[in-house]
Amino acid sequence: MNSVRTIGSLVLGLWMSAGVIAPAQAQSPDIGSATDLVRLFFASHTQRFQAGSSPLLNDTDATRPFLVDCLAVDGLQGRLGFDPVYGAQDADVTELEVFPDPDAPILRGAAQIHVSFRNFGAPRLFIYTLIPVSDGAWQINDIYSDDDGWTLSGLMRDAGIASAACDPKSEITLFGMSNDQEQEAADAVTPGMEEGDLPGHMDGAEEAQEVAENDIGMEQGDLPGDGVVAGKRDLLFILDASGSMWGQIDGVAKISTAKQALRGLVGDLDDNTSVGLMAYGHRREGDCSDIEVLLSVADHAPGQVGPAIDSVTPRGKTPIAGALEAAAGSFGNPDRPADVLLISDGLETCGGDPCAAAEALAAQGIGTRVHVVGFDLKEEEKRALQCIADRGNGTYYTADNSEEFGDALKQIANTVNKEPAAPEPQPAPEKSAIFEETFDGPGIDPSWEIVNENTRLEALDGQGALFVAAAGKETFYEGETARNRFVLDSPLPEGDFDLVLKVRFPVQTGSEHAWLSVFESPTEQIGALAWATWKGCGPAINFSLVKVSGPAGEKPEKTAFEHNLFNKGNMLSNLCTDERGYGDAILQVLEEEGATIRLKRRGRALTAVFEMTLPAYEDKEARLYSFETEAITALRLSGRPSFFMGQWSGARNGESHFFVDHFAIESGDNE
Amino acid sequence: MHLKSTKTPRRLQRHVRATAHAALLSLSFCSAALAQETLSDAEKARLAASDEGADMPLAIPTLPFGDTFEGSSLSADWTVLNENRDKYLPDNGAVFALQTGGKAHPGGAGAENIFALNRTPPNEDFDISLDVKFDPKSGYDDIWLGLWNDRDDYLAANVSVHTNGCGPQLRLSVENKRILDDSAKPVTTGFSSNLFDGPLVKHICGKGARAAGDLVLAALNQTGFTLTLSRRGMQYSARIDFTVPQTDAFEAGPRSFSSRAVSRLAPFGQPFFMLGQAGKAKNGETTALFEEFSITAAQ
Repeated sequence: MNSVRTIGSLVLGLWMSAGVIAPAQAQSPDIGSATDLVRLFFASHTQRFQAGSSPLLNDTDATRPFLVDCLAVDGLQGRLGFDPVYGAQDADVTELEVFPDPDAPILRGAAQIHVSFRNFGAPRLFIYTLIPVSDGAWQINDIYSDDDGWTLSGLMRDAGIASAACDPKSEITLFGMSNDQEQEAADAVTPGMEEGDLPGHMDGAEEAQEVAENDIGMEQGDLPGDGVVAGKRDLLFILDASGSMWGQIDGVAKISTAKQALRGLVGDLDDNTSVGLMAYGHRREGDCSDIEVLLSVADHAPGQVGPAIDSVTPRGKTPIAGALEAAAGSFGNPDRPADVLLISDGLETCGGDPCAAAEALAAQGIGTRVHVVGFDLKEEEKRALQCIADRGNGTYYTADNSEEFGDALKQIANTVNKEPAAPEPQPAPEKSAIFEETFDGPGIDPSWEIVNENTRLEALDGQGALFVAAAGKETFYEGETARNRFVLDSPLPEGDFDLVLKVRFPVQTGSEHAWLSVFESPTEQIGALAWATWKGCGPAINFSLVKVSGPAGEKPEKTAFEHNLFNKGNMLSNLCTDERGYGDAILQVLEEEGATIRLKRRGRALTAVFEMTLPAYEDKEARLYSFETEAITALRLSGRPSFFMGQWSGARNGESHFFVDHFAIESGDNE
Repeated sequence: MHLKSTKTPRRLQRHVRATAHAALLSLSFCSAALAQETLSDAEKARLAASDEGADMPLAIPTLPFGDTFEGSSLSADWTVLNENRDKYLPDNGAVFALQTGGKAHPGGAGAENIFALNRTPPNEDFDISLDVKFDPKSGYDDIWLGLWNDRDDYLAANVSVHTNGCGPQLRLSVENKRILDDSAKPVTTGFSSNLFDGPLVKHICGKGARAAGDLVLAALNQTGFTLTLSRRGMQYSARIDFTVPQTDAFEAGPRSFSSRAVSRLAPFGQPFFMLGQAGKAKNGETTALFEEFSITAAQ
């Protein structure tokens, strides 16, 4: 390892030399400073390797001065399972050279820096792409292995690693830091300092929290099985991620302006619009087939679309025609009105005919329109893109600066929002809510009776949820003295109905249970039960339909269908084998987004339904999960709608916490 | 470029706090009218209540609040409950404390030297933090930090070193004691994790683990740790941050562990900290150095 150690010893000198050139660089980044940054990054990484310290890439604070925020992810190297700086799991580095690309040191505003060395004698070449950020400094935007053909961003995407938002205006840079920050960074590359390891967590659930929550990385044509909502208008964004998008307007890269405005547009759209995202040129240079559906058109959860937009990094060519052709397969329902919005700063560079492609696209489906925002184009280029909008039955918007770009997207939002959704050929029957409680406050509906109320353990949280804690004795659903049982002072509806409860809860005692029932007394109930267990292989979710019946004061007879959703092909096939990580990711969703529990009456049959969105994880895509139990027969159903949040005695001294977001009684007569 | 020999994030935080305090002080002399306008609604309500003859409730601290215990006595911000001056000493930048007798628990009768801040907790989400150097030499030693109303009504983060068959164990806990039902006994809930049984050391009884654990315990006294009680909405959890030394079991570097959450629906009590000792300590002595106390708004 002597060779590696030699590299590491250069760090301080490089650091100081880099600092000396900082003032000039703040105004006009040059290729020399980009080379210095890569060299310092490599040396910092090497020094930690040599010292046996936690890898640089595992430490967000240490990497952010070097990398754009998109790539600075806690524990990155550990989660990738190998070292992307060496392209290996071990290193004996010799003959290191760091130098600008001989042919194109700066390509479309991005610096191309080569790092070549021998690792255990084998030649290795990596190409670092750097982009200018907030204060004119460079930051590493990606690493490409010339030997193996991977990119760091691609590896992260393939591994389902969610990255932070990438905003060049807010990047922490090595040379733009205060003295204190500089010293911290210097400390970070000094052996023996206290930087390094990923903070731990006692219950080991932290990694699950990092799991990507979107379906970034879908290949062209992939569609999730769920999430398409009927009775709406579709809108597909096609974002130009060709290298020219790194060009600047008003000192800001066009891609940054486009991303920011696009995120704003998504927020301005009404609930009747399902959106999707396609990009081209964002993965490979010079590859006209580089077209990808990042998010298929569907009803994505809030917060899903933004990260997908942020994940786009311009690199390649401009295959507009190919993208429009691919767009034809990106809509979930061909009978639904659809808009396509193409955002481009240049003309087709792959030989296709985008105007003809737009015309073909508009001819499919009902009311399909292709709109274009031409960004920073010359007059002749505008005319060429105008053709796409004209033949695509859409509107062309011109934007010569960021303000005009934002205005154009606002106009599009208005256009889409005002467009009445066309009637569905066969509209799905909508269930009517007979009663609804959203817990928005200031109080809950007076129809609720809270049996054994204890205001020390339940309250509205002021954010649209009812917070309930279970603690102390007799905290289970059939307990006579169980606190805070919510019973609606209303008879059951005639005929078929659904009781619906949306609830979030962290599994922290492993004894949590959420109970939705028809309640006559604690020992006379039938209900749906979502409950946690914590056994040898860790926490799991279970779901049951339960009927208890018996006189007060005695243990009731129980009839039940019980299912472990983390086993036997439900959410997971076998928690105890290799699916713990996925299970933890599901629990994280349960805590943050929650699940919907239904108790369904259809004639004499009662069933329980559990629904939640399962997250993307490794090779699994995000999907809507629904499980319905077997039926229990109720010949004479009586009682009142009720819910209860509790914990089994296995919780011991622990507390179980629940956030109830929604309760409703829906008519089931339309099914 | 000027390179300083050492500068840690913690010191940077102190610098920021000190600057913020200085700014607040200067503001207070600028304009009473301005100060009036910047009072929170809660603070206005408190002042209004006191003006109507009610007992003056404790003030809400202006955040960030911090005390590095400079000087030879505690500031007027503090009250020492069940004070025993033979068992603590403010000493220019730290409060040295010792415990004997095995009765030092926030829920115990006669617990001495509960350092209570003369403030009510903020109405917003916050972190209460305490920098400590801790010598767990009796084998049944505790640090407590949290909110305290009385011995039957407190919520606290706890770092403990208690001994069992494989030697002293390092635990992080959060404890929540209160009356849940009127006319009933108080209920204590909480979560406790043995950091030497999984989170930090896989199993302290295993081969080589004891040596690693002992190095960690020694570091608690040499480099210290930060104990934090965090409020997020109605949920409270404990966290410990410290730097572990290089051992055969793990690499040197910072570590952070968090507890699960307990709940209180409304702010209560006073922020407090204390050195604890359990009954099994028998004749042993426990000592600690409290170096900094702070309350900051949640990030």
